[in-house]
Amino acid sequence: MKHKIKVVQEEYEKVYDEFADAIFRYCYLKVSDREKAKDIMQDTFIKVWVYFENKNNKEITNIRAFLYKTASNLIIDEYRRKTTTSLNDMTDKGYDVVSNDHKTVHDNAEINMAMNIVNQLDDKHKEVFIMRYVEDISPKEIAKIIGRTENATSVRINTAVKRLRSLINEQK
Amino acid sequence: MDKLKQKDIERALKSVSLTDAEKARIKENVINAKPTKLRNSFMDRLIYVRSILINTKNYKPMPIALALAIFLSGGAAFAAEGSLPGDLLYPVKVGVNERVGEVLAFSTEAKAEFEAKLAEKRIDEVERLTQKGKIKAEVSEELKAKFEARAEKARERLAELEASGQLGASAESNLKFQNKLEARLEALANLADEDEDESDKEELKEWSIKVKNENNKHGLLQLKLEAGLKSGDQEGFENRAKGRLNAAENKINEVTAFIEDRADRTDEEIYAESVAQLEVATELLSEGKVSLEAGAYGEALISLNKAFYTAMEAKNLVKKGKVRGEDNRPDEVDEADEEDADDNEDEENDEESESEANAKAKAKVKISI
Repeated sequence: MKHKIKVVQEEYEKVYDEFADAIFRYCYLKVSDREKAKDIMQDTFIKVWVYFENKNNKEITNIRAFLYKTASNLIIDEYRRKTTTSLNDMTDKGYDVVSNDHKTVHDNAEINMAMNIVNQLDDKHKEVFIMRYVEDISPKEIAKIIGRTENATSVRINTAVKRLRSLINEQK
Repeated sequence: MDKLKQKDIERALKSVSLTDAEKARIKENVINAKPTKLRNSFMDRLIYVRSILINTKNYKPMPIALALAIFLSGGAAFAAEGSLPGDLLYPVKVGVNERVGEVLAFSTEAKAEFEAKLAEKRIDEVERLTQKGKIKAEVSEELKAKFEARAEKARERLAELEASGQLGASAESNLKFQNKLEARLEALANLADEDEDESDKEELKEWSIKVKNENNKHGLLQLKLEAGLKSGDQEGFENRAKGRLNAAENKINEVTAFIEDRADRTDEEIYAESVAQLEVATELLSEGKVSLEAGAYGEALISLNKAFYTAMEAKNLVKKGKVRGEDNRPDEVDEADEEDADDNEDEENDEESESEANAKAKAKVKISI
């Protein structure tokens, strides 16, 4: 989907409304910490806005990819800052999925299980799996976001699915 | 619990979302972090700067002074400073560092100098890219456009300064910028000489033309400002003129020592030329003193500024002549020179001098919150 918008506050609020959950989810699935995910997602929206404030031409095609890419970079920054703690240390304490008005306890447990499995994938494969199957981003766009060729991306996605399937089979 | 299938996993993960409250709160944070053209107050600017910094260092709110200190001291921001178009961090240099610098320039004078600095950076980037053999037509064109845009903005700011009666500040900043441009023209010419590639030479030639063009516009502006300095009410320029007297005297002394020191290592012709330049500078200094005595502070300012830069040129002549065993890059006006001038400005309670002193103080961005 292409989004051509002029970055004006009203328009940007609409962008936020549309993508806030997706970007948050993307961040959360990658960093497994709710507060961190919220911070990163907030900074993503701020940064993208600031970036467009500087451009003379305030139109942008495909703001979605841009948001994901920015979030991706911020997460990489976050990874770099962490020298000792592994982000996957979260597996013990479970995930801080907050109950929303629409969620049930059952769902939370299921989310926990799902995350447990997915987090066993290495970062690169986890990332493309999430983007393709959770965020429903096309392989072409994913390629742009992660900065690889379409072919390489498709291969990576397929590998990710294969590995996930074997993890699924290993479930007790 | 049953084993999950892939579809289950996807569904479960898709259901992760923010609560409505969280979503709304973050939205507010985003909106409030966004700067609007109306935000001109000191605190708003710093809050804006902090919002840029928050994501790079710490996810908890940080005291603004600390955030700035971290920002100014290093990390990715600093690494970005030396980057060139095409480098990974170049967008950080332009989109973040320069943006922050722009926000932190409070007074019109500081803004003018900031625009000038950015204009110069673009030339610098072209020079360095050319030296590395990495200059591409599109990149060069883009940089040219940016350079021109910044130079124009600088002139706008200088005009604002002029309009608000700060002729002294405007003339000084303008002259400083001209000096920088002239130094760049030298550098471009040198590069063109050394570079063997024809298309590079062409490119550099075009840049020289562009830079000359802009410099001419500044030259015209300077004439206008000087006319104003001569004819306007002289009282207001007293402090600035006295400050420049100090600066010019110091500069001449410094350059005299410099040249004498290297007399035997310098080519005779060049030595003679630079000495002649120094004499011109000294004459201008005397003229300035005379005007000062006579209370014609605006005129004094013109002569003293010229004396300063003429002395600097004398020094650069010697440097250009490639004194053996030394750093021969041309001098440009730097912070040290500015210090001399400033020390004498903060004294009187003159209207113009007070606002100028405040402007200079703010421009130094000593954040002590």
